[in-house]
Amino acid sequence: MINENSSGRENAASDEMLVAKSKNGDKAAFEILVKRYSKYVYTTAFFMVRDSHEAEDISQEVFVKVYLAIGGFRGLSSFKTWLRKLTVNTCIDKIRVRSKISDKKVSLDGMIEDGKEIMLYEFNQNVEKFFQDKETVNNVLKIIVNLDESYRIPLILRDLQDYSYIEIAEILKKPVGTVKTNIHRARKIIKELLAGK
Amino acid sequence: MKALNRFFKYAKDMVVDPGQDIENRIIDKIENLNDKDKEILDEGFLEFLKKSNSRLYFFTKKIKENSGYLIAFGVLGVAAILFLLIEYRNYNKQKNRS
Repeated sequence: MINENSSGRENAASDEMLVAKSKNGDKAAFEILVKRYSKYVYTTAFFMVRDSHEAEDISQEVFVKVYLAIGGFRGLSSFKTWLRKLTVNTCIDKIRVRSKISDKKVSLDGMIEDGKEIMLYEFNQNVEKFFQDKETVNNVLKIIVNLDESYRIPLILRDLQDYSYIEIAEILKKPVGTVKTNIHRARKIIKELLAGK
Repeated sequence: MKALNRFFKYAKDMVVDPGQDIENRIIDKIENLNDKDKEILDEGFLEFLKKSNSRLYFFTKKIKENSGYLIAFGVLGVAAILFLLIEYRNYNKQKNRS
């Protein structure tokens, strides 16, 4: 485990440096990467699969894959982009496997009431200056998490993960036109629900 | 739509707190990997790894995503070449007459 004194170094070390050290078998460097990105991976998985336990399993699976394969990562994209794509791919695989199972609806508020202490907070310090929009952002996320899968997944990939329409169509194995339509409808639903709040 | 895009932008910077010691559990899992865990690197993952390490893949992806711009530049390029050819022919004709 990393001790308290190393927290300054944790923040200062760049991803590239930590990846390079991890490739050389430096476990401490890999632990810093885990600490830096575990919540990010968990959040991505949570919004896609809408299940806190499954999101945690996916987070573990993603980091195990990264740990086992980091030697083969050439760094053509940033580590964060690589991690994000790996997380999305892992989630899509899980969703495909359970596609026959009904897509249950969840509520972030309900989860807090259940004592799971799920809350939203800033990953990036820059959000502070947009404090006045925080409540609306939370409402947007609550609406997204309750959208049907056919709308939720393409919307998350497009608007929260910055995938192109072509990439989304390839991932979901759907025509680009369908993807665009579903994203448009999802945005319309969010706008309507926000206006009604 | 502009307002919605602003909210999406902020939403990208937010995370759901798992409310548990997720980092340490991931680290514990990694420290206690067994041979069976290595099966996690299945065909799908190896394909992903291959793609993420391929410059050709990134190049073709960029072309696919910007095909509109490429077509526009291609049409402009052909138009420019045709214009230069016509101008060159006219220049030669005038030169022969004089």
